[in-house]
Amino acid sequence: MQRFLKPFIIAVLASSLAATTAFAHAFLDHAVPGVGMTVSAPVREIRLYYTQGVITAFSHVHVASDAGAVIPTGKLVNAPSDQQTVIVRLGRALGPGGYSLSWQVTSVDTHVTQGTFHFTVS
Amino acid sequence: MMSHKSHKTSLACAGAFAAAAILAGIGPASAHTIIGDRIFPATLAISDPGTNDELTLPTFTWTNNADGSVSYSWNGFYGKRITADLEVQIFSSFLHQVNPRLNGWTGITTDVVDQIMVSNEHEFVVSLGVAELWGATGTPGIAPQFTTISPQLFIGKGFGDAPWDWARPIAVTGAIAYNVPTVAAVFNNNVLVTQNPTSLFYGFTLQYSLVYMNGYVQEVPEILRNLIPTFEGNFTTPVSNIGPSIPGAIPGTHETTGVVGPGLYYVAHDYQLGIYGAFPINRGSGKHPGVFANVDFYLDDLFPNTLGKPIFGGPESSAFDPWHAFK
Repeated sequence: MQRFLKPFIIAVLASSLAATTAFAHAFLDHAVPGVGMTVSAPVREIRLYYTQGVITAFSHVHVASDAGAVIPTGKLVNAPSDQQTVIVRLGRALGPGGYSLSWQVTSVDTHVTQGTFHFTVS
Repeated sequence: MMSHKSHKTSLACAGAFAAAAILAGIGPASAHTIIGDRIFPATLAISDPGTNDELTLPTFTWTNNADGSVSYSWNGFYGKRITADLEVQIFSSFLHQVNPRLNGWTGITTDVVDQIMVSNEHEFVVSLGVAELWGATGTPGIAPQFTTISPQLFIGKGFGDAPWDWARPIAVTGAIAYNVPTVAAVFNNNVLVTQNPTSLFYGFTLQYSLVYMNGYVQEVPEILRNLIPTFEGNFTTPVSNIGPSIPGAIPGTHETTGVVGPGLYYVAHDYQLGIYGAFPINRGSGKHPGVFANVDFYLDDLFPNTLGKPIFGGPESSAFDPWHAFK
């Protein structure tokens, strides 16, 4: 249905509009470790998969243990050839315990979105 | 004195006028709204509580009315943000009715909605609006020849700030409007044709957002993570200028009427699909359940640099935040 409707709407709304690829707010589609999930130790990186491309230079991620200890992270990067995936390299492997990840990203169309989720390392 | 046949016809027309006024006065689906981490979808029982740039084409309704008629309508809606908090809307419907047969346009409704309170942190929004169903803008015999004005209040709250994970995907929205026809009664050769009561329209949605759950609480299987199931309802209570009860008249003109039922919304990247099963709450609300459905395009995502952004200012709300006002 999307293939039919999108060209229809673009045609109806006049050719004077700047034609753009369909951008959208970058919401979190899924993550590894998963949102609310429990995974086996050790965890050395976290991957965030968004619904749209993310500009990592204008995005931030914060990881902390349930005890409040901040986990150092490296510079955010996109996966090769996939701007919708953000790779968070951790300064140290995560051991057993609970962790919270807070993210704020800027999508390729400059919309800013944010969120927080929890996961557990067993 | 009106004959029985002309009386029934007049009442049928009055029913169509009333239905159109109520439907258009509030309108079917309006903008989806993003407040903080929460997407409030463009719901079908009532409008969502905030502002955005949106095209809903179409909203389809199928209703089995109390007078025995069956109505099908297709609605087109366009909403444009002037600023991040101020939106103007225009919409109209084409009605196809059987028993009695009617085909035509129900008139043009415009609406101005202003977000007056927004808390992104607490996923809370309050908006005020004024809608006008403009008289004589539709098909004669279907659309009213008089204008109806409807001041409105919308409210929405997501519970992402709840301390229990099971509650965080929940959101509720509410709407209330007071419909005031500008003509109290319509006469034909000094014979009363219709009496146009003022009425209170109010409704709610209760949402359990799997979209929210997947992004912020607990990963959801891929097949479910775009869904927002709801339970919704809307009601109309005549308030004044109701007129006397007429034996054998169409049920529902002197009582609260309404529909309730389950809804389901599929939220994609730049559009939304929705469907809602509307079950009458009493005999006056309809003979059988009906169905509402919509296709809603998120213009802020489809055209972020042109149609999809406010005319003046940036996309962030500057409305009053009650949580931070007194800090």
